[in-house]
Amino acid sequence: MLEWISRFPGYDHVLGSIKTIVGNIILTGPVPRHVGLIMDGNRRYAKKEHIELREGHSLGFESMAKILELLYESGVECASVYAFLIENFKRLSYEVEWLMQLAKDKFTQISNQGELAEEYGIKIKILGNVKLLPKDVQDVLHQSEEMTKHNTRAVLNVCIPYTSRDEITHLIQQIVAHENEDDEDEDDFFIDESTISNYLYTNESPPLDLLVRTSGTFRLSDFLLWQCVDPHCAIVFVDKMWPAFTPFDMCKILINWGFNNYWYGHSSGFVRRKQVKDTV
Amino acid sequence: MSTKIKEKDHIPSPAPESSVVSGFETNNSSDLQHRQVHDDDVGLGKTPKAPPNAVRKASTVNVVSGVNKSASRYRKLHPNSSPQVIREDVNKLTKIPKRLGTIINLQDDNEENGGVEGLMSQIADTSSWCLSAGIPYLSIYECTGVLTGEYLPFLQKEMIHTLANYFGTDAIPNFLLKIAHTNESLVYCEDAPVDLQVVLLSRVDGKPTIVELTRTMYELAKSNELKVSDITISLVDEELVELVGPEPDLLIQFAPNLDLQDYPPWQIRLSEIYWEPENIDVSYLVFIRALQKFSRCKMNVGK
Repeated sequence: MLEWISRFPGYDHVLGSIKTIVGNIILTGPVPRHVGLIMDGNRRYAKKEHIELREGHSLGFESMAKILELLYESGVECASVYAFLIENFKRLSYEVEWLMQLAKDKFTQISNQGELAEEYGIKIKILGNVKLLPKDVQDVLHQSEEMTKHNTRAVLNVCIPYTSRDEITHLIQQIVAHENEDDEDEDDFFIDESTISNYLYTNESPPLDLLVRTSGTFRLSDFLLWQCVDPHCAIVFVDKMWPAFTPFDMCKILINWGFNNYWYGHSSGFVRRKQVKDTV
Repeated sequence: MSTKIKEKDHIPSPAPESSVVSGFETNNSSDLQHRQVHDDDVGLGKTPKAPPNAVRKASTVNVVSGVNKSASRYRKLHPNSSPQVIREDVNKLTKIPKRLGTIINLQDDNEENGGVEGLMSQIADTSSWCLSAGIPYLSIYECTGVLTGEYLPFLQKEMIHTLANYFGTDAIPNFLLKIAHTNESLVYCEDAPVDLQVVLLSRVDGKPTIVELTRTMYELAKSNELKVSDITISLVDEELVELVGPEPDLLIQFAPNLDLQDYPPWQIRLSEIYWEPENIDVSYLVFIRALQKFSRCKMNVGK
C-alpha cells in the first residue's frame, strides 16, 4: 500500500523502534503467556494477488517472523505455530515438496544465522509426529532444536506435522506404555486431567492463553484442541489472510486480550455463567 | 424482523417467585429462613424424589390453559414458531448440517429464561427449529450438567408442549432424549422411527471422559488385553463417539463471546463455530444465520 515509505532511509530502524515501543506499551497490561497461531490463507492470498503458490508460502513465513518478533517483544513467553498438519500430506506432491524445502531452508537459516533465535534467545521445539517427515527435514529440525536448547527467554513451538487427535492418541499410548517401564509405582500411578496435560506435546509450555486463526475460517482444524477448550483460553478469528496479517493487527488482539482480562477478568470478555466444580 | 425481536424483549416474563422475593425485601429478619426454604424447593435436583416446584407449575399450566390458547400466546412470543416459515428459510440454503451442536449457558434462576425451567424451554425451542429444518441430530452442551436423568420426563413434557405449538397436537414428530454421560434415554414414541435425537452433554463428557478412556486402556494393557500398538486414532475415535457422540458439523454458542468452557476437545475438530457478539438469547435469528453461514463455508481438510 504505502510501499514508497519503505524506501526512505532509516525505515527499518524506525519500524524497529516503533515495535519496541508498542511492545513496551503492551507489557504494561496483562500479557498472554502462550499464544497459538493458525497461519491459514497463504494459498488463497497467492491466488488473490496473482503470485505463485510458492511465493505465497514464503510471504507467509515472513509474516510469521514479524508477528513472532512483536509477540516476544511484548513479553509472550511461548508461541506455538501450526506449520504443517498431518492432513497436508494429502496435497499435491510438488507442493508438499516446496513446503518441506521451505521448512528446511528456513530452519537451516535459523540455525546458521540465528537472527530471531539469537536476538530474542528463543528455544525452538518441534511438536508433532516427526517420523512422518522426510529424513533430511527431520535432521535439520533436530539440529535447530539442538542448537537453541540453551536459550531461555522464550519458546517457539513449531507444530510440524501435527494434529491434536494424533497428539491425544499419542499421549494415551505413552500413558499405557508407562506401566511397562517401572513396576514399582504401578499402584500409585493415578491418571487424571493433569496427568494428561503432562503428557501433551506442550507439557513444557505455560497453558495456552490465546489462539489466533486467520483467513476468516471459524474452525479449530485439529490444532491444540485439548489446550484451547480451556475456559481461560481466548480464541480469536481474523478475516485477513495470513500473509496480509500485520503486527498491527496482532497488536490490536493483544491489547484487546489485556483489556478483557483487566476489565472483565476473563480473556474472552464479559462471560456470564455458573462456575462448575471438578466432577472427577 | 428486528422490531419484532425488540417487542419480544419487552414482554414481561412471568415470575412465579416474585411474591417471595418482595417479602424478603420488606422484613429482613424472619425471611432469611423463608428464602432458604424457597431456594431448596427450586434447588436444582438436590432432592431427587420431589420434582422442582417450577417444573410442576409449568406442566399444570399447560393442562389448564389448553393447546389453542397457549398456541396463540406462543405465536406472539415466537414469531417464527411455524415449521413452514423455517422450512422456507432453510430451503434457500445449499447445504445444512447433519449434526448440530449448541452451547447453552445456564442462567440464574431469577432471570428471564433462567434456571432449569428456562434451559428446558430453550432446548425445546432449538429442537423444534431443528425438526423444522430437517436436522436429525442435536447436541446441547451445558457445562454444569444440571439436567440429570430425573429431569428427562419434564423435558419430554416441555418438548411435547412446544412441538404441539409448532406442528399441531396430532403431528408431533418422534424424538429421543439422551444424556450422554449416564446413557439414560427417553423416546417419545417407542415404535416409530426417530426424527430427532437430542443429546445432552456436560463438562463430564469432555476431558474427564478422555481421562476415563485412558484409565480403561491402561487397565486393559495391564491385564494384557490391549497392546500399545493397537491404540490408534480410529480406535480412540470409535470409543469416544460411542461414549460422547459424533462431532457436530456446526456448533452454535448462544452467548456474546466465544467461550468453549471445556467443550469435549475430541468433538470440536472441524466443527464450524458460530456466535454473535451482541446476542445473549437462544433465538431463532441466530440459529438461521448460523445455518446461512454454514451453507456458505467451504471445507477442505488439509488440502
